[in-house]
Amino acid sequence: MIRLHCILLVCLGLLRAEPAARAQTVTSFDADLAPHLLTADRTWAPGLTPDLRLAAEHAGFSTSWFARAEAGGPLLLDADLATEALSVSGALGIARNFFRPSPTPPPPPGAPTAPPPPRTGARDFGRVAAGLRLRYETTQTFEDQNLTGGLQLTYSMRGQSGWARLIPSVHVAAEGALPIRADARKAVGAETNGFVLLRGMASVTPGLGAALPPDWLDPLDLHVYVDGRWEGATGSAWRTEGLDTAFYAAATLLYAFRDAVGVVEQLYVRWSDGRVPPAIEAEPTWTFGVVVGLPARDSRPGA
Amino acid sequence: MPINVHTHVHNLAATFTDETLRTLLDRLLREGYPDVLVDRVRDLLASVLDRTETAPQPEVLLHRWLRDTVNAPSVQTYLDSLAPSERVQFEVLGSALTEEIGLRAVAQVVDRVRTSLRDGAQEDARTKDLLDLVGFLHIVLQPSIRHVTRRLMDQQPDDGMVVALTLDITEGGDADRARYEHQLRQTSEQIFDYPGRFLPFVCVNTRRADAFVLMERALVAQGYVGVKLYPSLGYTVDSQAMRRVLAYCHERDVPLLMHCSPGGFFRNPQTIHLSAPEHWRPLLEAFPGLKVCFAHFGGADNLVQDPLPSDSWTQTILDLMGEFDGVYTDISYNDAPMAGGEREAHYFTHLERLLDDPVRRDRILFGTDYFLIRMRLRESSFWAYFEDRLSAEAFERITDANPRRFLGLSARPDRLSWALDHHVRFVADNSERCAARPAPWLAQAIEDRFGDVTFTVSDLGPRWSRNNQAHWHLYWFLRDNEMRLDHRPPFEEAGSLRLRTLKYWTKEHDPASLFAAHRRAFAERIDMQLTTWGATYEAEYDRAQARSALDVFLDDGQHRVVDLGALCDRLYLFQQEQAQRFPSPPPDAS
Repeated sequence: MIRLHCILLVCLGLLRAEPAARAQTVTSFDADLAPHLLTADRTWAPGLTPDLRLAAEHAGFSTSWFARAEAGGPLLLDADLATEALSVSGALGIARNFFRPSPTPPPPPGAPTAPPPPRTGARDFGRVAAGLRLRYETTQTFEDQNLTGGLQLTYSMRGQSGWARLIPSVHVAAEGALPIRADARKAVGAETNGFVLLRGMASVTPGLGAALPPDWLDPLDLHVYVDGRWEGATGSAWRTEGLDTAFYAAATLLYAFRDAVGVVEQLYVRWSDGRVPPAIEAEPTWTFGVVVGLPARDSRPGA
Repeated sequence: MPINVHTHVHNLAATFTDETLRTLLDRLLREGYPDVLVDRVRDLLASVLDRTETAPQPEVLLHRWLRDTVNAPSVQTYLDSLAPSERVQFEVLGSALTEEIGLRAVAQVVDRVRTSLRDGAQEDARTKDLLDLVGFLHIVLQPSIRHVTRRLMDQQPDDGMVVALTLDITEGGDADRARYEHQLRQTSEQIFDYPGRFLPFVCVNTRRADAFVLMERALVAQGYVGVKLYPSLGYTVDSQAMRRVLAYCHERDVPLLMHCSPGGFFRNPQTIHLSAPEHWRPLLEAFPGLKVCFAHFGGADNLVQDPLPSDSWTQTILDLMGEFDGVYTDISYNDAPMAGGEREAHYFTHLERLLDDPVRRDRILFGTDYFLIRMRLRESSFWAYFEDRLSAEAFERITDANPRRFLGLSARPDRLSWALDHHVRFVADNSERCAARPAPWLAQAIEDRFGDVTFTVSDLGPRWSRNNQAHWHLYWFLRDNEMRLDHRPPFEEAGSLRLRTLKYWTKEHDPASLFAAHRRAFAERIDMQLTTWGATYEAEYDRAQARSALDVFLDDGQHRVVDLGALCDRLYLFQQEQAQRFPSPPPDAS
């Protein structure tokens, strides 16, 4: 983990070159924690998904470009059960938001509240971001680590109603990858040279509870996430083992309390199958977790 | 229900002109602040008044001002002459305000200045220091009347009520009419944020051509419940125009409160005497029972002497109280005894005697003179100083029973004064705009007169108010774009929603890069929608900075919508606020 943090700090240092006046810094360790129990192959392991903003997140973007460093990934007490990677990344790119604001102003504050006034008429067609990303990824044991860099394209969409809720957010990337440590490759006699990497991921949250009649089910939702990658020119031994392609899918049924029950913000159960390289394990897993919310801290400058 | 009968909520931009700024600076000099500091204050305030565009927020202005002031050679020379403790305090304050520490430190320092600690109240009353000056400037520089009011109300007892006095500093005729109308309108708006706790008085300056019309409109249709007079601004109380005002108030039992001390604002030294109480004897004879409060007890410098000077304004007020039932006085800005010693002993000997006097004890009122008193001490320290030195019965008398009588606030809702009756109607007619539930007396009065009037208010009070365009516009954006269609709560409930319940929130289940994309998109959408609806950026922000600030804030799902509203209030300047800070120029302005 120390190495993970060092690389995060390097990324942050690079981003410091950005004009300070346009940048914002998150100085706090995020208090969102997701303790959970994970089971795979009849083995149970407690885990924790903290938000790994351990040092600081320095971010800034104008209307047309952005620069950011991020870190994330679940930590398991039994690292052998981990099917997802830990990563730290920095990105630089351009973005375009296709949101169409409503030209119709809100009604005056004194207007009658019943019946509710019509919607103001904004239209959201999502947001596209494209750019370069430098990423360090590792297994939790640090036995397999890659440094990747390349082009990425992200379409972000969070539809509010109807079919728009079913439109996924999509992220695709074409990268070059350089193994820093490759114990798994060595174990199967594969080459440890650099390779080409194509990645794709998508997620959608369709608003399941809204489609079910009882009101108390409104906070229920389903989150679906898929992640796939293909590694090119990685040598026949690696391909023979079927490790040059990886697919990961997860479906999470979650119940997000409108008002926290104590510190518990959310209950969820997740099924997943496959792996996110460089993780090697690809067992189906079930995760039973809660999201714990601690009091918010204000990291706004001047606050 | 403690009542403070003497406060001001007008900020610099809403009230002062270049010329009247001079009188404010004179007050600072009379308070004993050194020339070198007052010169720096003059530069600061003049720069704000001269601005034609948005001024930076008060903390930013103070930050820059203190940094430059500490480094100014003239101030350095002054610091050398200070007592070591005070010098250290100033230098520590200055050193905390470096660019490296930045605005967070400034906010904390300024917050500490304005935060009242009960234990420190005695020390605060005993001493006047540079922090008082910083605290005063922090209020004066507030961007709007709403901001000043919020600071005032935050320092009142929980159910406390204030009388807010407007101030009409005019050259006469139609000069500055738009500015004054703006002040009246914005002050009236504060009634909705604190219904039943905020009672404004309209200032009448007969130098203004249509002062009577403005007064009548304020009393009938804007929720004003009394009249403020300030003769030393350059008019006599015994004039035809003033007699018309007094006849109107007399007929309707409208209370008047008049500035009555040789200090305060004045047009020139010759006009100070126009505020003397001796001019009132013929008027009080002509209008028997007319309620007039001679503020400041004629100047506390008299009450710290023993015996009372027989030719003092204070003695004249006491004589008038003996002759006329409607004569009141208040102890606002009575800081003369606070240094302690004999002066303090004499002051309280006089005050206790008067509070035992059956003729006068029911007509002495409590007031602080917020925010001007902040030149000297904190609002809460002023309260604590008198509460600690008067018996509980006497303190209750001057803060509750006597102000109620003066205002016509009878215990029976069906016996409210004419002005309060109009005030009740004004609130009832605008119940949808109220940000808090009315105080019990007002709720009862509304129910008695109009039956069941609906107040759709938030438990968050003014922190989440329909009258705040940042809150109102943000709500409508969230309602139409970020809340699930099956759960779109009304405005009053939406402020309590946590951000993690909005649809952008996928932090626990998406990779960091995807959640960051959702979050950034959300930040951009807020910015795009609010600016489309006419918001501009506060002085220290541009589009990129505003979006970045939102992006960082949205990363914490524990924040509530009300917190996001507060952030939007900091980042954006809405049309209503633009009007508050920059009223239309008067018709005669060149």
